[in-house]
Amino acid sequence: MRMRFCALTLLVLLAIAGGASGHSPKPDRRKNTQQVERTMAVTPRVAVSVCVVSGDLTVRGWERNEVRARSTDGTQIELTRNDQLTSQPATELQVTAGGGHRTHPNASCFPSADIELDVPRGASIKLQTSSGDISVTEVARVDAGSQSGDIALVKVHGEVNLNTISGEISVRDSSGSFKLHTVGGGIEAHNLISNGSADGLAAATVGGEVTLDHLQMPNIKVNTVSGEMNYIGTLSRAGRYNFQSISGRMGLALPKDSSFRLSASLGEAVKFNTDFNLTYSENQTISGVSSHGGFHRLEATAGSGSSVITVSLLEGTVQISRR
Amino acid sequence: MRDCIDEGTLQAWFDGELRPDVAAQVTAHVNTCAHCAGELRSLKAENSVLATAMAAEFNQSVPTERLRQRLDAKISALNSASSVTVREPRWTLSSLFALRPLAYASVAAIILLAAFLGFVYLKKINVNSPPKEARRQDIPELPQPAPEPTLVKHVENPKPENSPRPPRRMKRNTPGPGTNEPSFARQERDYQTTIAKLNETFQTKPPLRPSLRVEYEYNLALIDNAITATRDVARRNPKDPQAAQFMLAAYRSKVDLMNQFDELRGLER
Repeated sequence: MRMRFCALTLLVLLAIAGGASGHSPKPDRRKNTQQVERTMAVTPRVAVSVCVVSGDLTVRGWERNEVRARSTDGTQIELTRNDQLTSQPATELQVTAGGGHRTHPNASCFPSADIELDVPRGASIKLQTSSGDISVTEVARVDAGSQSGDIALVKVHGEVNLNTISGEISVRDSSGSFKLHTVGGGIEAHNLISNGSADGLAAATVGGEVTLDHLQMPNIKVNTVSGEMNYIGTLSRAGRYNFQSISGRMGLALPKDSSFRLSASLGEAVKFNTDFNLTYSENQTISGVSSHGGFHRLEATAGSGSSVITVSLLEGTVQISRR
Repeated sequence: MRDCIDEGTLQAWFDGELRPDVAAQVTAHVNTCAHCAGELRSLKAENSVLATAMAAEFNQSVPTERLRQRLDAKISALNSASSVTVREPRWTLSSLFALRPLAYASVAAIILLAAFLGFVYLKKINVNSPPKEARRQDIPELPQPAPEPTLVKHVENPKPENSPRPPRRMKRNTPGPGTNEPSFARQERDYQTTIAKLNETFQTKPPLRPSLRVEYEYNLALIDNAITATRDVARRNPKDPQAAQFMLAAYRSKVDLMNQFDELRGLER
């Protein structure tokens, strides 16, 4: 009897344990706190690339001429040189899987890894992740893409090209030229300046919100299909600002003494509001808006008209206000 | 607030099921109504959560409507056969023994007939359906793919539902936004051809992850609504290049979106 009771108890315990293991979620790789670290001497303008299917990528610029790669979840990594002169510091590096770890068949991607990189501040970085966030601080050039993760850049001083499907894009305190594209996420750019007259910012989203705050760029172009966009701050002298959307709200909050020439193509139903004292072109009606074939054409000037604002909107609201 | 759009209509808009004029009204309203825009965002979030939660189910092959119809037909045929046998107990035992061979033969004949009808039905489906449609029976059903309505809407005399795809020459017969602007009409046709090709490419690639699929369909719906609205404006103002530019910009957005997700499909596997 006692034997049967023990056997029965054992069976029940085994069943519970089996059931628990069967219903447990996938192993949480983040619980593995083991770090794997690799370091290599590089040139100041080294090009470094990483691709991860699932995981976060963090890149920081530092003063040393070396790259340090670290996986924070125990994934085996290697720094693989893509250049030929192996006797000299590396000019082109790729973070690859070490220890026979199988990479993604299509793009040499880690299946899963959280990777941190320290790189020279003049480095060019290429990052790719499917589901994970990307964070970059203090480097020269960034080319980054994600599917569902956010991308955040701070203090980047060169060419930036960001692309995400549903993630948010944020760029702050940086200089250079910026191409920011997201399908469903929003775009936020704060305190950006250009390094030259050829620099500019191009932001595009289908349904996300675009916020541009305190940008000193000579060329700004924003495209959305159905999203809100806001521009806050000063206009560059001789700057060109192009805002295009099919439907949504466009808001420009400019200093009181702003000088610009406004050229707008607005759908019949678009509401146009401004508290600027605009001087409308001669061929416009007294309200400044004339109807031509179902569209409102608006040509007006504030001040001397030193910069040009072009607005295209089919449905929604345009608000240009003084602040 | 009292003019707000109900959730059902918003969901229909999201699924691309509304008539073009109604869809345009909804789009216009959502753009000016913060409450409805918020509702739409929550709807999108809910769909996203649902798609993520049901990822496993979505990725499994499920019986298609056509397969269900075939199964129903066979089951009803078998039911009618079994209904013959159900009546047997009302007979006397001796008559049962006497007629058993006949009953067996009847059941066998009915089953054979059902199998024959099923075979003929299957053959008919194979003849009428395009190969891609047949292949799609093995992949999960998508809720109302948005690109198709765009193409169908453009055709003046749309084919019946079973028609696989409108022939390209029919699209050429469609008048463009303005007879005085042949280049815009040509560009529109070019975009539509590109979109049709991208649709074909999509059929041959593995399905997207559910979360991406929701994102794709949501944004495609946004763009399709924009195309509908801009095309309407372009047709009302055939001599206005600005109107056509809006329409072409919407098409360009759609091609960009499809290209982007086409690349993703390649990377997914």
